[in-house]
Amino acid sequence: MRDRVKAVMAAVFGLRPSEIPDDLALGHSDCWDSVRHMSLVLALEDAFRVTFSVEEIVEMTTLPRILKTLDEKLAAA
Amino acid sequence: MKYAELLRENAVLAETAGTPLSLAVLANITIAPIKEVLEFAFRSRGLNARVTIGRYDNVAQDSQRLADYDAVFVFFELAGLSDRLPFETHVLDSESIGKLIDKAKGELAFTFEALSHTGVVVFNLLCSLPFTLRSPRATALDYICQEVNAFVRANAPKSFKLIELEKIFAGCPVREAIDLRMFLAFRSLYSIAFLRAYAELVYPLVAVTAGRYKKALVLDCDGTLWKGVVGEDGVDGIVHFREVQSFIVQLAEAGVLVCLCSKNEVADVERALADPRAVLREEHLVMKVVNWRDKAANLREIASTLNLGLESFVFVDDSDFEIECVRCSLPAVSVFKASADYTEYLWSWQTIASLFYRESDTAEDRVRAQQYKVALVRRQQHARFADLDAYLRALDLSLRLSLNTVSAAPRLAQLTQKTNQFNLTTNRMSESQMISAMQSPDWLVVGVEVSDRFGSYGIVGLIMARQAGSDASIENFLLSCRVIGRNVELKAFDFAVDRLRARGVTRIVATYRATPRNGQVSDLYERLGFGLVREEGASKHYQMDIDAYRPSSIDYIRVEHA
Repeated sequence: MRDRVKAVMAAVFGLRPSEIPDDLALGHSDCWDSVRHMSLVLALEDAFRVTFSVEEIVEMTTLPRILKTLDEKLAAA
Repeated sequence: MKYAELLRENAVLAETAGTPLSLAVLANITIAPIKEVLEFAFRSRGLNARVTIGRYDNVAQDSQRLADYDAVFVFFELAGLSDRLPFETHVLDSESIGKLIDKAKGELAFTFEALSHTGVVVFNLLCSLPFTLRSPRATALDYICQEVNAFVRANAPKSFKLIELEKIFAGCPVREAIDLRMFLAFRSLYSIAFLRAYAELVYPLVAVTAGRYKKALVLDCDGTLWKGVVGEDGVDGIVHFREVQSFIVQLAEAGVLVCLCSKNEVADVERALADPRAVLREEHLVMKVVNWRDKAANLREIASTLNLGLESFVFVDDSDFEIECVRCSLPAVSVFKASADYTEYLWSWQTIASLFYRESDTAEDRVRAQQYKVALVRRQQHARFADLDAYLRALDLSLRLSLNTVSAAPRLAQLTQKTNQFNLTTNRMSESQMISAMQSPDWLVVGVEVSDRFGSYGIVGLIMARQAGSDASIENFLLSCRVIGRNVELKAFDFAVDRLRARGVTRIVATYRATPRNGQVSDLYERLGFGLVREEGASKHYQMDIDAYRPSSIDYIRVEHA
């Protein structure tokens, strides 16, 4: 799961998956800003066939929180 | 294609060759995700582009900053007019709605002025549809849109391309097009699905200014123009696809070169076209290649006869075999398979027709097919004269040269967009840029109209020079492929030099910029007597003292000045 999420992040941020640390967070690097966050959310929805709520979108601003949100969603599905 | 995949592909395609077109998007909402979607629409078609997103809700301010981009897209959205819109309309009384509209008009007037000379401006008309879908009568939102749109239609520069977003909502339903979560969180309105449909719709508007559009349509007959096999069923046994044929006739009348390429007996095809039930007739066609050879070879022959590159061609056939044959051997040609399901096939014609998009139909477009037919006769005559000079003499060539003539601007701009072979700089220009040049005292714009004993070719050449003090530089020098090889460029250049001299120019500088298509004019400036100053990548820079120029000695071309 982590690798799949990193692959999506890499595509959105224009990086290699290996360049993404496990604790990456919005605002900690130039590539993940609020504008890219939107693209990231859309790309994750598309890749994992899920739909996030407004609250989830606003909350999922670190890689660990993205993984947690996705786990919950996919378990519920 | 998934969005992440699009992002990856887009990043890879960014490395492909070609100076990217510079595109800017101005918006009063958040529109950031459009960047890669729009870039991908261009890059995936071999046309590099780089998109810059203006600052949030800075449409008027950024219009000035980004006015010299190749194309500017404006998302001036209803939902961005006020923080209260589109949901809290109950707090807006008629007075505050009036103020809102006035403020929008003020911003737009400023934006229109700032972008009036931009190459291409795509402006989306305001659209209330996503928020009034279930309202059978007009709401305050509809009123605001109507008022602002009326202002846009009355005041936007004529060259602006106005887009009705309803066309996108018709194919991408509102609930899929609008992402309310993103609107509530970031004031971003549109989904990726919407943005992709938008990019598809607007692509031709920009691509055409980069010379990317189709010029010739090559059609199979049985199963493509009619149901049945004319060679077996006879004319009475076939059913004409009248709706499809109507699409083709409209394209032919707009100047698209329509050709047939069919494995049949010529007499059978001719009988089918003469059938009173047919819409498409002999007169709409430029060429018929009816034989039993392979279609790729026939297409190559058509391209060389019409003197067009294969990338200008669209091929339609109902046979998988022929489609694959052309797709494999001639990848530059766009191919369409005629579906056996007629309604499906009829839908596909909307897409096929869109590939031939042009800024406007000029008089030359409308008579082009006729001119090409005359050219074929001319070429047969040509074969009778061994000596080229004798042939040119017998042609009775005459030129009509115009100077800074605004009425010729649409045609001249179109020439810059579509001419690839005899084109020294490949400097594409829009109508508005052409008109600005003509109205400026620094520019000399010479339009070249050619005719001979067989008829007129219309306006087929252009020389543009920009003067700075006693120097003039040739910014555009081109000739349509239909009149290459008649030495008319020499006479036209004589005229341009004369005019520059009269304006006090003492030195002319010029550049040949190599492209994959314009090798035939790589030494034109040498032949005209210019000296090579330096070579820089694909460009050769020249100069010449005007007194050293020797006019051509040609006496068989008459020259008139309009």
